[in-house]
Amino acid sequence: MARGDDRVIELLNDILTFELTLINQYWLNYRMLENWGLPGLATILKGFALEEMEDADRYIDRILFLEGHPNLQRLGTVQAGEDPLEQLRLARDREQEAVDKLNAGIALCVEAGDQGTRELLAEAVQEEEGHLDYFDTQLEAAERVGVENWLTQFTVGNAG
Amino acid sequence: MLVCHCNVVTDRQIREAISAGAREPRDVADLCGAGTDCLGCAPHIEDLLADAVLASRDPSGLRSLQARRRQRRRVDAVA
Repeated sequence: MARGDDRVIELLNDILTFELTLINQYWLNYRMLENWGLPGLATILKGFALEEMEDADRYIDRILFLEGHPNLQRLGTVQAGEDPLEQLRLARDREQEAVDKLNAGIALCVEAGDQGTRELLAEAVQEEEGHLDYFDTQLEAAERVGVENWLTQFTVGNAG
Repeated sequence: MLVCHCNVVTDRQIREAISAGAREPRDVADLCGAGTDCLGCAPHIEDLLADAVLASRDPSGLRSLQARRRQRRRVDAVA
């Protein structure tokens, strides 16, 4: 196909950088949580990391389809929390950032007349909203029952 | 939060270094070891330095902050 809109390619690369960073952040969270004896929560973060990896794969494919070059070298800040609660707070903020970024991207795709990319981002935003909802709910539960009580449920599980 | 992953330095330790007198990235590196290897955390360290300078309203600190920002823009423009 003819080269896509440069703004859309730049947008996809920007989102790709974000995804690649998040994969690393969640993977680090997963192994740290497992190391802290919280396999239940670790498994969930591992699952999220894998989902972000699948998203990244779709963005790479789309950028190539638009005749752009996917930048897999650039990485953002891996925000590593020092305890489970901080990890989840940072993850929640990142997901909010992702949702905002994707919504702004959808508006740009509409403006550029790129419905294919718009569709891709619209699907992704629902997934990120799911992650955001999960972190929000967990943080609320932690506040409601106390961090120690909340963490107890995660001491069983099957991360590995 | 862990900021420098190469040398395992937290935002708290970097803030302590800044409280102890660090005004530039190299001072932070000398005092706590953050930001000496891959430089992936350099923007975060700059943010922490900027927070401190803006809070202190120290004119010489503000000047050196602006100089580093100009330098970075030049590097970006060349790249």
